[in-house]
Amino acid sequence: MPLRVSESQLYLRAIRDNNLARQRLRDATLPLTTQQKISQPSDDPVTAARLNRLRRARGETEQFQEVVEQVRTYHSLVESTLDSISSVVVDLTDLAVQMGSDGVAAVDRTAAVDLVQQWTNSLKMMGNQKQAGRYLFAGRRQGAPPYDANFLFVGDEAGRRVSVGESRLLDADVTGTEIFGGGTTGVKSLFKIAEDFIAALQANDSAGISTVLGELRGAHDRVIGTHVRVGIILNDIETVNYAHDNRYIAQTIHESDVIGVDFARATHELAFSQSVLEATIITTQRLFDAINIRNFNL
Amino acid sequence: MGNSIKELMAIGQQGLVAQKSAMNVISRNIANANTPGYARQRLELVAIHQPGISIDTGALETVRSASIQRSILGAALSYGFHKGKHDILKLAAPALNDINGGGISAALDQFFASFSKLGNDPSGTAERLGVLHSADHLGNTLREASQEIIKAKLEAQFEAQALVDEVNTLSKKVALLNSRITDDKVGFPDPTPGLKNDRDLLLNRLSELVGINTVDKANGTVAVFLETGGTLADDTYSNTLKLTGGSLAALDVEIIKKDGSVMKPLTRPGGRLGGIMVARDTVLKKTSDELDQLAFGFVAAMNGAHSAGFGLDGSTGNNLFNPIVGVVGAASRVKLSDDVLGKPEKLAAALDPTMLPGDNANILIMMNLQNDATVVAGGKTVGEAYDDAMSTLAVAKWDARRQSDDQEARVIQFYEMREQLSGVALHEEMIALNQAERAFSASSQLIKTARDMYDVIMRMV
Repeated sequence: MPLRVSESQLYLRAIRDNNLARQRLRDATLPLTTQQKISQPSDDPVTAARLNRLRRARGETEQFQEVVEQVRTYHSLVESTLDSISSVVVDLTDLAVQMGSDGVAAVDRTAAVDLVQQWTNSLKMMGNQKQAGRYLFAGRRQGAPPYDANFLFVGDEAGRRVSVGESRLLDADVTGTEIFGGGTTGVKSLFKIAEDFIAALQANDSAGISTVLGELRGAHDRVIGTHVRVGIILNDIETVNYAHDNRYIAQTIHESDVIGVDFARATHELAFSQSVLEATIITTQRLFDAINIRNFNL
Repeated sequence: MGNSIKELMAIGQQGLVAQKSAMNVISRNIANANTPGYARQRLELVAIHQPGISIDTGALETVRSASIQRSILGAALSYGFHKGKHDILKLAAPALNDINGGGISAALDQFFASFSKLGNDPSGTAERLGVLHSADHLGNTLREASQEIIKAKLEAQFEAQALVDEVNTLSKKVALLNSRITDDKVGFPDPTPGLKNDRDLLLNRLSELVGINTVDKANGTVAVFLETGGTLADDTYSNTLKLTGGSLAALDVEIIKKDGSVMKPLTRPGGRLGGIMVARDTVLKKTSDELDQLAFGFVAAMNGAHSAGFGLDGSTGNNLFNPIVGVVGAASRVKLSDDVLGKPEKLAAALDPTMLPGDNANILIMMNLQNDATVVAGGKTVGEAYDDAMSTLAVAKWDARRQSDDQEARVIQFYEMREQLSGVALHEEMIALNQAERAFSASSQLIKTARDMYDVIMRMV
């Protein structure tokens, strides 16, 4: 016996089928317009939680990348400054070798004083160098010049550390005493050595110049040592940065896998749902035409 | 055969009356083809083999199935429960939606990212303002989320009260229909089936709203009970459902009987009212508790670390957020502290006041709180605690929607079963109408023929 189909059933089903087809079309357009598989956590709670974790991890990577970039900028600046300091120290050393010879006349030594004074001033300028409102070698006391009027170190010798990875800290500062000596290092500062050099030249003191020469060689070793350490930090930064870049790419790809839309699939679903809606509308029209009661010309 | 011509005319007349009655039923069916809940009627014509009588109208039958009706009630109850739950949860859902990149999760990321920037330049004004801005934004986001959940809970309470009012109105109507059904037993067309149709519709709605069981009684009335215990309507009287609780307390119901005594159902009701109660007092409560735990732990940890550090101006003991006393409602009270509001120099980046302005040691401590599993009660990081709160709401809403869709499909299936049996099919009625019309014409022709025969006889006299 065939099923009875009542009027209400026909109309309610037609309304429901049309609503379902419209909803399907709406659902199919959402991923394409938002470019996301889901638009609210309840669409897929597991994906939503995974997405939160991924975005949090990526956010941390971005934080680290930013810090690493700033540390790199600082250390690159320090590296070039160290080149200049090293060059001045080499010049001073060469001059000390030259002036330390017994055959050099007092007048020549006096004449060299101006040159040494210029180089010393240049060193002092570099010692209190400021970049973007921050004294480069002041450590944590970055708001004030690390060297006072007598060129005694009044900055911070410990420096700051920054977090560039989970449980990974990097030195963010190179302090003045590390480069120039002095402070609590127990080593005569480069500025004092330079001043002693001037005094020895003015006094025509060969022995004094010879002492300065030894100290300048020690100071140069110190600058070179710092240079090497900065180079190591920069290499370290490259490694860390490389790891962060890779992690960031992996996290972005992973996020895209989790939330991103498969366009081929979404486009297919859109086309299909359009067809379904059209078919539903046409079917409904035909159904209503077919059941038109005026056809009952009995 | 006795007085044949007179009998012939009587039979014709009976045929006319019978077919007219059939057409009455058909016309009522046609008129109610689109009336929700209407069950078609069928008039049984009975042949009678007695002299002078040939046909009579038998019982007027309303085509309905009690088992399908009971199935509708059961499905409506489940559908109502999940729909009610989903309707409330969807109001709160935007509070914890981070999919498009906003929300609490993003605000937390932004907050810690701003600390990271400050860590690299602890004296930077822009960096300090960035931290204050992101902390303020995080506070606003947490408060807004908390408010949205509170609003959803309040809406649930209003909705529950409206449903209880509707349940009481429906119960009264059922009692009234019971009364009319017992009063109105005779006459044609018999109104009782129509009244029962109306009552079925009320019962369907009642079951969807509150979850009911019914007992059909011999006198045609129906007794309506809450599925969880307690009478809503019986015979010609109805009791009153009353909503209790609200505000911070869980919602509950009690039944005020006609004698004024109070009866408490065994458990919370089913249907939409039950769904709304579960959404409000179980899901949203758990979500807001988790959010409060997060806010409480986070603010306490941040303030603990921040107040131990030193601002750019050397000040110490400053809170980053206003201290929160008690976990309840903590998320709605996260606010930037007056200690630092508009005072970027008060941000305690340093641990060593002699190393100002560049000391960032305290920043590192505060940044570490991001992944510290002791910050939120239960051994969770801030991010994990947020994921838990979000998942509580998302999973419950996802489940409510899925169940609601499934149960709606069940309801529709049962309604379709009912329609297949009880609904009006116009083609059937048109055929039946044609059939009755032809029989009616034939009966009138019979009378005409009898009269012609009678005339012939009279002329013979």
